[in-house]
Amino acid sequence: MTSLREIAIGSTAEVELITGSDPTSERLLEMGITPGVHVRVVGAAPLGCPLELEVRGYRLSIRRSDAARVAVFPSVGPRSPRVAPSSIRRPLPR
Amino acid sequence: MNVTAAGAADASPPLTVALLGNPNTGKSSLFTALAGIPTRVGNYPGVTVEEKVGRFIHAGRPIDLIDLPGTYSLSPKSPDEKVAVDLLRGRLAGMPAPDRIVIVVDATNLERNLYLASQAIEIGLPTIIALTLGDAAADRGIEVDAAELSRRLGCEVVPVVAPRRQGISRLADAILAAVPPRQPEGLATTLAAVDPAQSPAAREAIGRYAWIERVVEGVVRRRPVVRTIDDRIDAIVTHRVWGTLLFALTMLAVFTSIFWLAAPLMEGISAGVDTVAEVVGSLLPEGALRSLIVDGVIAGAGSVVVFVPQIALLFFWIALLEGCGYLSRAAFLMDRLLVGVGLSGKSFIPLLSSFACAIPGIMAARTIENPRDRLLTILLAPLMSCSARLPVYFLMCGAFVPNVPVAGIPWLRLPAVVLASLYALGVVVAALAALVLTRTVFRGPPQPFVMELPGWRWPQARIVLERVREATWSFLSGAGTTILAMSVVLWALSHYPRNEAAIEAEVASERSDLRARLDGEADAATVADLSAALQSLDTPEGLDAARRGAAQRLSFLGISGRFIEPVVRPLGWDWRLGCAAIASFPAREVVLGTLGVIYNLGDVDAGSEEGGTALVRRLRAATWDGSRRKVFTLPVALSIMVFFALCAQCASTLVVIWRETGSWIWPVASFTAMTTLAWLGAFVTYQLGTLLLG
Repeated sequence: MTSLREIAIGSTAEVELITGSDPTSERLLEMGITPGVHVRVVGAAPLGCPLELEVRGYRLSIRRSDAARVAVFPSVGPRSPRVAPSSIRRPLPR
Repeated sequence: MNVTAAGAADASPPLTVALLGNPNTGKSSLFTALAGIPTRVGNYPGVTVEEKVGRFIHAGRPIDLIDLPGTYSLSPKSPDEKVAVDLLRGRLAGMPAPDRIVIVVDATNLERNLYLASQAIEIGLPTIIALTLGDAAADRGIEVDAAELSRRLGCEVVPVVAPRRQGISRLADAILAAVPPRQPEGLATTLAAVDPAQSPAAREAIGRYAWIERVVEGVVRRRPVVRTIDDRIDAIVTHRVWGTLLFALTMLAVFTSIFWLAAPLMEGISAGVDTVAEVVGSLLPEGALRSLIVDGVIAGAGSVVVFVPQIALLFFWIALLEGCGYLSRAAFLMDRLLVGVGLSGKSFIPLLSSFACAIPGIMAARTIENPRDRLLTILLAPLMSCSARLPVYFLMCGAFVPNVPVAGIPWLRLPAVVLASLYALGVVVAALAALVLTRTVFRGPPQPFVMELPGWRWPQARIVLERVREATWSFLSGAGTTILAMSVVLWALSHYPRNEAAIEAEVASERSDLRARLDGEADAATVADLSAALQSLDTPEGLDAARRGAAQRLSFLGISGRFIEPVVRPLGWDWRLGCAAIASFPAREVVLGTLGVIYNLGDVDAGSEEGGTALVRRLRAATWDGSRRKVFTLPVALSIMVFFALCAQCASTLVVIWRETGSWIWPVASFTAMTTLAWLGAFVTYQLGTLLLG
């Protein structure tokens, strides 16, 4: 499983699912990191953590440790339009 | 508005309107545009979440606008968010549900903002959407069709540009006219259609965002922009080299302004207070009342007002940085540094400011939404070496630390190394305290650190000024009154019991003691110091100073100094030093003044060349009672400095901790813990120092 943490800076990835069900996972979902959405890793702080992400047209920052709970499909290129809601995927069985 | 309209308005009950929205949406700007300066600011019962209400009158109807804490969803993750949700649902004790909800929706970030909006619409109260930041959206090539959005959401959508007051009166009309919304089209069915295998929280988010994506389609038109303004600014600001440099410069500017720029203002205030004290003092007859007014009330009020420049300047910077979007970038850049001790990047500015003064630093912790991080930051702030400790360090380093090179490096002098070590000591102890606290008292599941980096925009002068006014006023009216009351109590403790006969006896015994020591003293420097002290007793000023010193030593504070001598003995201190430490409880910087009084110098300005030299001479000459053994040696000087680096001898800080946490537990805990740490630190320093230096 690839996580958002492993995505190179400048790349975009499609979210597969958010693991965990604690407040942090819940907040990630509420902030719009939902299955099917495209997230671009804009950059990282000079000390390597946290990450700067672009999702749904805005910027947010999450720690690398929290990025590990965002499972993604491998990189889909530097910039691509967001997929339509019909493409929401069911989580893959583990 | 005319008088009759206002009169009629007062007759009808006010309409309560809750202002709801995500953080960073221009909510406070809209609050100011609608209601002006808040008519009521306080705390919600039982929590330290600020309640802000502003009343305005529109079309003859009084309206109470309640500014709810910024929240991302209606399933709260923090006490702030819980208050917002409870109030909307009418579950907050003593507060009925509002009559209307105004949801602030940021046009530059419609999708995420509609998440909260769609939840709030479902409550079913009459709802109006204020679409803000349309100008910023246009700059980014985003256009929102408000009419179509209104149709799809089932409630009125009013575009507003709050700083220019565009759409404000239309919004107020809409507030009065609002009716309960229709249920948003297709929302319920979309939510029901989500895969039931998902957790409830995931179902809610997936379904709502799926619905939002459909709502937004055709409502938002994006002009393709290759590289947005945010992209270009962020590329510099979060750049490894330029971003770090810019950050360092910004922090330098913030720190310099509260450390240096505030100094002349504070001196001006002190001078003004001294003038008032002098004038009032000359009008009153000599005696307890004059002392109470001059040394208690006026000096106490002065000690409150003197903090205003630092607080105002710091909040000016915070509002400016927050307004343009840099505050969260600063937290972003510094997060890694603080995450190791269990904090987040948001604690950086409050802790940095505490090196100037813990009071504005503790107040700046208001910018930390997470209550655990905020409380921890408040408790650690007083450990940073503030500017009030510097006079103690300077005097002790200058007088008792030999000015010799360290490790053979000619420019690296021992006093400078000691000074730097004291700063490092505070930071290291704070880091250790944070590690211990996050593993004991503050243990618990990690709090989400999912921080929005808002779009760049110009800060607004009105919002900045309002923030400064609010911080200053809350300090003066909240902490200020308590600090003033405390100053009066401390004045009484250092003034009573006033026994003139005992004071005269004390002065007489002082005189005979000096004579006895002079007899048979061989050391020429000591002879000079002793005879100077003896001669000064024959001048009126010297005698007066000796009387004041005796009065101080015989006051409740002085007696308690003698009483605690067994406790301070292991630190290498005599009872006079114990007295000085206790008497410096109002504020650390007064310890030098107190030492001056205790050593019969009267009021010395230890910061001045002359006053400092006089005090150093007295301290150098001081001996243990009934012996020729000097009190002040290098280990004692080090132990004093370590004690003052770690102790909580600042009543104002403790009062501010109480105000900001809303509980007496925290200042009491803070005082107890810091005093224990200070004692242990001073003990180890003195004992090791004596062992190593002989």
